[in-house]
Amino acid sequence: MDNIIRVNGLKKHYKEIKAVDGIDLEIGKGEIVAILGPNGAGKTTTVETLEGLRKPTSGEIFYFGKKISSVDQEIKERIGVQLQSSTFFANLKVFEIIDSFGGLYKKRVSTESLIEKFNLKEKEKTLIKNLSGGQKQRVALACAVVNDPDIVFLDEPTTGLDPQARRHLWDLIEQLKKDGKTVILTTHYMEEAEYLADKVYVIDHGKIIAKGTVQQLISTLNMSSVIYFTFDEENGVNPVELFNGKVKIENGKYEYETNEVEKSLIEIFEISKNKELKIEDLHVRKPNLEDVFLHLTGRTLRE
Amino acid sequence: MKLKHLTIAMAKDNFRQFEIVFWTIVFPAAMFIFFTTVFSGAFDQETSELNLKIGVVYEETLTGTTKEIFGELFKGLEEDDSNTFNITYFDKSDNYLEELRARNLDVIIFFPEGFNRLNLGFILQNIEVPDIKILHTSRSISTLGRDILNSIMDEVNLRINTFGQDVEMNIQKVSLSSKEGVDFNYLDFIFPSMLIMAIMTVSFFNMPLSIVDYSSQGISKRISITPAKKTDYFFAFLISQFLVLILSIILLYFMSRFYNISKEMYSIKFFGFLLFSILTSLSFGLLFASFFKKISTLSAVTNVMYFLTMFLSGLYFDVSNIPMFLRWYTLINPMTYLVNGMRNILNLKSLEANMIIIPLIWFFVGIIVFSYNLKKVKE
Repeated sequence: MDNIIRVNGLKKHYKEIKAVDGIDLEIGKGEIVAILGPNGAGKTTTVETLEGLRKPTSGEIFYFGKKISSVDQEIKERIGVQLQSSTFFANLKVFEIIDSFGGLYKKRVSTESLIEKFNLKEKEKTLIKNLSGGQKQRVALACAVVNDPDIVFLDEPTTGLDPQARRHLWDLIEQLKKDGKTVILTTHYMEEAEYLADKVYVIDHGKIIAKGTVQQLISTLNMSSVIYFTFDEENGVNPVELFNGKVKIENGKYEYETNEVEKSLIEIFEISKNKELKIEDLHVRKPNLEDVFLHLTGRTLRE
Repeated sequence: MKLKHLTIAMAKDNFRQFEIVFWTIVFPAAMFIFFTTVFSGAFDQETSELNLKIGVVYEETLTGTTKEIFGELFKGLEEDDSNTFNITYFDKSDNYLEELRARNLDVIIFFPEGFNRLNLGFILQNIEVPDIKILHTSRSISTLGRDILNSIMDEVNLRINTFGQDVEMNIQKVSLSSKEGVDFNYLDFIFPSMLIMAIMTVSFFNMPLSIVDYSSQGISKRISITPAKKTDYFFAFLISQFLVLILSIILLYFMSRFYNISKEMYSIKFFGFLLFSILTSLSFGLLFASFFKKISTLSAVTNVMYFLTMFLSGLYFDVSNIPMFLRWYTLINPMTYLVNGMRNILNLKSLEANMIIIPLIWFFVGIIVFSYNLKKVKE
């Protein structure tokens, strides 16, 4: 796959603080790439340097195969950006703000079609200051793609949103991929990265500590999935014996570690049927990016 | 195109903010009505009862029919029951201009040497009579006196022609410049104050607060990642601020039509100085935005500075005799010179050098400091 953006040894230092400390990135055309890390890891500094908002201390940035010294007008015409704390003119209406941003680019998508696409029809005459958080983020996303960009930068687009609004925004981001856009997304929500990203860069203290697809990263852990369940009445049966020692009891719940989740589930259901046991509270926990981060740093993403 | 889109967006944002519309447009207009209603009578009681002090100057003693006509005319005016006219006679050696200057006279009618030729005009054809001069100042009572005397002279001309005499007196109206006649019209005093107040509201509040607000909210950052140039952003911002100010000034000008303010307010010189005042004041406002990054701090500082400047620049009262511990601010701040410059233009006085130089210094200081700070922020 062609790299639409390539970064070699990117550094951004503020006196003693090494906000970004030698990052390498390879972003292919049409990919959704997540930069995952806790607050203060250097995610925003990295993307803002790529967007031209910050001047790198050192390192090389390649856009569309060409090395650049700064993000010029030509590149700005081809990228779309949603900033982490993007506030627009509070007293403009939704239609007006999208239209105003469209006017700043040579190439633009019609405001009407963006209003339609981002489900803002009902709110098009509402002032920005009167929108909810989720609606504001949809406006910000509409403004980020108003120029039909090749690359879209989304800096923590779902932070502070309720689960429903977050899910809605994920659908819109997926749609961007379907439209052929390359999406670079920063987040500290591992579910977001797992759901959306083709490729994940895990960043901590300004350095990339892991990269790859979600599956690749998880597979490096060598961790099994765990099936948690309980029976409503045990009828004198010892579950540890029943599952030949594959089940252990923690806090009154049975934990079944397995690398073959489907096969193990069938086994649990068969045993419960044969012994006339009713299963309660069954759920499966697969290893995730949180585990990857914990494994790599000894901390959780939210610490 | 980018400039246009940004300007429209910023202007809409401004005009939809109640605080901006109220303080910049409505408040100065309301203050103008307040000051003119409450204080104009305190300085000028001429409208309560008309008592016109007319000086009649004969450069040579009138004779014959001419003497009869004008003698009777002024006698009639003096004997009028309403006591509207108070006439004093002068000859050419008297210091009648001083009397006008000292406001002991409101208007002068001047009969020049050779005016007695009018007597010949009653007999012979094609006799030229020197013009009668009506000398007045820009005070409203004086201009009213000028108009009354002019109407009376028109009436005299008409009567002479009715009797079949083909002779006409020409009337020349001479407005004395303020160099020659010192007048005080409260409206000419307060109108520049209101203009400066409107300008100060934009430059002390709207502009620095908007700069810091747009910056802290990330609006300027968001625009900087579009292809719009920094100059587009800067000029769109200035124009949007300017538009609010222009609306405020238009409203003040519209309201001034109902008051008797010097016509010099429509002169190119006045408009030029107004523009100079706006630019200087906006630059002064940039200074605030250069030093304070937090809205709360900036707001507190600009409020203090606004009131200090408003009262210590002589916008509403004379500040030439205030104690020295306060006067230094009067002397260094540009608004003192800008408001006095406007007043001078309205009163037909010339602009003093410091009315240009001191504001100009502030203009450059504001621009240089702001540019330097902007460069530092970019780095």
